[in-house]
Amino acid sequence: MKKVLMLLGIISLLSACSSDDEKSNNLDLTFKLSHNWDDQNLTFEDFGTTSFTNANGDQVSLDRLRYIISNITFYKEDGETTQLLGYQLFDLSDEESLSFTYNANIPEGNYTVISFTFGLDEQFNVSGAYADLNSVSWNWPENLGGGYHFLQMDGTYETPEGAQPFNYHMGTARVSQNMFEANYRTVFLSSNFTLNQNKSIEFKMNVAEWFKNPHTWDLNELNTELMMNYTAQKMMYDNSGTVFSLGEITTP
Amino acid sequence: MRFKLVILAGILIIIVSCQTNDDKYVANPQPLEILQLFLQYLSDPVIPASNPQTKEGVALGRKLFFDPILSGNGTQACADCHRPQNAFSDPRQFSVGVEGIAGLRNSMPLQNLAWNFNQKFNWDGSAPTLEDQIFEPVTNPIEMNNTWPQAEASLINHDDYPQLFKEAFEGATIDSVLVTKAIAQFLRTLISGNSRFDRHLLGENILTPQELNGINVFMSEELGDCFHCHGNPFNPLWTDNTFHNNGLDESFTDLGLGNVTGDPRDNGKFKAPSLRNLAFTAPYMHDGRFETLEEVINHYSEGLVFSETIDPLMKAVAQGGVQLSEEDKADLKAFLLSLSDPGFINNPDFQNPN
Repeated sequence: MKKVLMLLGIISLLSACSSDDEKSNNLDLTFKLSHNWDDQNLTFEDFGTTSFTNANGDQVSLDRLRYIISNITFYKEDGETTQLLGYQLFDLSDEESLSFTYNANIPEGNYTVISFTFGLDEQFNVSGAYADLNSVSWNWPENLGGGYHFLQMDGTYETPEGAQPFNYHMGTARVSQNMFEANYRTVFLSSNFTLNQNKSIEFKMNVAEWFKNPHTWDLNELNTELMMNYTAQKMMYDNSGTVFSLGEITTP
Repeated sequence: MRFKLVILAGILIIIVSCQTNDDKYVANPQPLEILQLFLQYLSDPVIPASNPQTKEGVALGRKLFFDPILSGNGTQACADCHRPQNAFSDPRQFSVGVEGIAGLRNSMPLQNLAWNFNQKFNWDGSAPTLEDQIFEPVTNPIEMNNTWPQAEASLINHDDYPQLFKEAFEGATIDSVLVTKAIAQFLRTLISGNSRFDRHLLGENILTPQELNGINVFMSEELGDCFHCHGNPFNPLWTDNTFHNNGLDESFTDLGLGNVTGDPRDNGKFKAPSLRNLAFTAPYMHDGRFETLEEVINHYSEGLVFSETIDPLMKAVAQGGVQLSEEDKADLKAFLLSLSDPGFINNPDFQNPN
């Protein structure tokens, strides 16, 4: 199983809400992230080679895309929820990181919604708490509120003066010195499906949406030094709402 | 009374274990002594199951590391280009091999190698493991210029080595694989983590205002923005262990990682080195082009040049760099030097035993 690390020490809540007459199963739930730029498939092969046009009309090329999601939650049609505590850092340059399997104790039945946290919510976004994330320097600076990056998207956009870099990094938003605002997004995805055996569940990220909806992102204005820019951080939050969709749910 | 009982019990255990071990000799395990900051913040060190750390293996590796016996003409040891006083790097821009021929890159410092999580060693990532790395210099014609059969023969015919290999590897015959295993075990013990900045992190109030401003320059995206590649107080390796094109050249004479992967997107990328022990590891960069830390800082501040594969994190390339004030440059340098650890280079366990 990949790095679905239990958030050690912090947790103990969870589950224990199953009613007596239903069956809970240990199911292997495999989560796969796939990526697209609107109707074009997007993989690491496109990095540095394929030019995409963003909503503002700029030509964009990607060099690095990493992000974290956590605490995937399943909602049964009767309202019961099961949360899978843990997180996964996805790195498009590392194919292995793009899927992981979670052995979940989860009731059988019909489900209607899956949610997850894009980033880490306040309770879990604790500076230095996760060795594997520290080890890849995923930390978010203390003077910006600490914790970890949620998203790191680096690349270039074309200008009349040539390609210019952008660093679209999302994390805790600094309101003012020593005042910070958690900036994670809970993503809700609807679908009707039954869980009674192992499943593979695909989440899709449309990278174009980071630049599109609701804010048409102008890289000529907002390109680098966005981490400490409160307005930019909240625009990223806003745009994160339409980035994800649910792909196929299959039985492996 | 209770204390004495414990000692007695300990002695009994030692006696018992000596007796049970009589039939089959095993080398004595000597696990790495992991520093508190590493234990607290980092993933576990990478130690291959096929090469566990042992007291005898580490001692043998240390002896081999400092012994010119592995070189073709018996004149050069690993330590000649990886000198303890230079944090196991070479103060020369390019090391010179046994035939008097200089290499193409600056010798890398050897420190905290068990925490190189992606296991790609060398500036260009050419060695998939530490053991693999050690194979290379022995036979490289511009380094030690030996053959492994000859190196093995020298060891087999030596007065002491056959017994030392026997003790370290439980009777196995001396060969190149065991040589690399022993040296790798020694190299994994070269742990550096007791600099002034480490002690600051552990709660000692010892940093100067200048050093404290320096870490702020380092950690601020609008100033140095060093942390994306070079770690942070929660990544005490002070490197991300990956490869970047940091804007040194418009075109490349040395493709670096690209030469290893064959992917043109990797051209001009080299491993981000740790910022530990910079006081001892000049000159800097993969080709040792900068003699001083001032030159390094000036490079990121004003000297960046564009090339196709430049990392977008070199964000101010159009202006030549992040344009630090002279005061911030001096403070950044002061902070960087607080990551140097004299106790590391002077550690008696890391010196020449021969």
